[in-house]
Amino acid sequence: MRVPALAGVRAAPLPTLTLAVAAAALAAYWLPALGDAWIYDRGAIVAGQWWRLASGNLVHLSGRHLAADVLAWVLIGGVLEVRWRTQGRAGAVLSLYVGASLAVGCVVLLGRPDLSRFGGLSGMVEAALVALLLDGWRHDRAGSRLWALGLALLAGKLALEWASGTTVLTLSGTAGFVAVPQAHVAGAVLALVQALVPRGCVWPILRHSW
Amino acid sequence: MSMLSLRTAAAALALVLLAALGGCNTMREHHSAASVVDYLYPDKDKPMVTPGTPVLNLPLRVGIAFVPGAGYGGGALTETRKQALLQQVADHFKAEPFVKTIEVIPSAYLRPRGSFANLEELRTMYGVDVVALVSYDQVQFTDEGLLSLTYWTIVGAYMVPGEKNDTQTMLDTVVMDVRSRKMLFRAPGMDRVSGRATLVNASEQLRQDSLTGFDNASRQMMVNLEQQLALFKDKVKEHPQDYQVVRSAEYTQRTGGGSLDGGVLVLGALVAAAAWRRRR
Repeated sequence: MRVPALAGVRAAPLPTLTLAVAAAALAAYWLPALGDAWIYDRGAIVAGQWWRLASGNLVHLSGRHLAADVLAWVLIGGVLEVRWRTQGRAGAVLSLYVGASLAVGCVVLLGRPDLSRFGGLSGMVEAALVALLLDGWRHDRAGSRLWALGLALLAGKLALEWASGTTVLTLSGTAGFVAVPQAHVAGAVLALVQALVPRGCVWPILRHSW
Repeated sequence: MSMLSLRTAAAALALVLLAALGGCNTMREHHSAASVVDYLYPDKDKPMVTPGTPVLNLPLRVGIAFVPGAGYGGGALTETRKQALLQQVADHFKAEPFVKTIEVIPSAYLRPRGSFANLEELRTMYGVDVVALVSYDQVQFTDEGLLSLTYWTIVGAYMVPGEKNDTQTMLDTVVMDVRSRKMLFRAPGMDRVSGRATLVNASEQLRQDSLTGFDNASRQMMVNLEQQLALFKDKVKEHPQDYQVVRSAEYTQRTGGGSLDGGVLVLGALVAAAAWRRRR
């Protein structure tokens, strides 16, 4: 017997990639050796450990930092992945996550040479949020104004962060580190670029393999 | 043969045996060494120093130096080679974000048997918190017989067997927190070059083996240094009661984090709820 209220939930695919990223972030926090091997470390990256550009997003610098980022990630990334998988676009989830993680690392490397270490998922959270807003705006004609309002609010917040050089109303706390708004902008821009590129143009193998 | 003759012959045999044993005891060897134990703890009669809890002010200012030898020659390890080796060790530390500066301290500033009083002078002179002391011990045996070498390190003795014309080398880096007088970690490197010298080329070959020994031992020491540094970082995190870490504002400014704000979480929650409802 089907329970009507749970029918949609049962049919929804599991956001495995989002959950795997969250699990990796938790592991990097609880296993110091793993965190050391993954953290964005400018000296190590320059010496050839390029994977840290992407893996640095998985490392967090305090318990509060981890909690805020992972909570937002599971909420926003989870819904995005379920939505895109339902649309048959699982490959796009992978390309967004990989692209956003690399974009954040590269922007920090090129734009913040003063930082020797960096960590945090927030750039990828911003990428998922922008992707979700753009997807809603594109596919939900009835509520397009609301999606556009969400995009405008987010753009305003990113502009304010960029201008002030820090984040506003921080949840993560910044004890022991400085906030890097460039990471948020990098994630948002990557999601925008992916949305603008016609389907099948970028990583067609990925898009069709899932 | 009379009893007297027998006694004389036995005494002569005993003398010959004693002379032979004496020869073994006075075997020739080339020895060059600079011991960190002699440098830090020269007076064995004094009670051992009880180390305190290190306070690591990040980013650290690190000094690095060769400990002075106690009357032995440096052999193939010339001042130029020492400086090159110190520079290699310094490069390992430079890449670490918790290191602010690293100073290569000339050997002339370290007194033989200078102990912690000398380290305190260096701390004041160079403004360093932590000092990496590099010591070495190399022996080249040039006589027959199964021989052995004892390396005295800060954590105890190593016994290493040797044979004729063997070159045994040990390099050791000991990283000390000067204020607390506590050893943070150490990384040794050892090497054995088997004897290849002949009577004709003995001197030149031994010199070459000496150089090879230092090169190989330093390579092994660098590998160990990297491992020990990684282990030390884990140890500091796992045993906060043993190491007090103070992150200065300068250090904090060098670490960045993607920091989410409340606005994103609220907006994200609303967007996620709307997207979930309209996902079909």
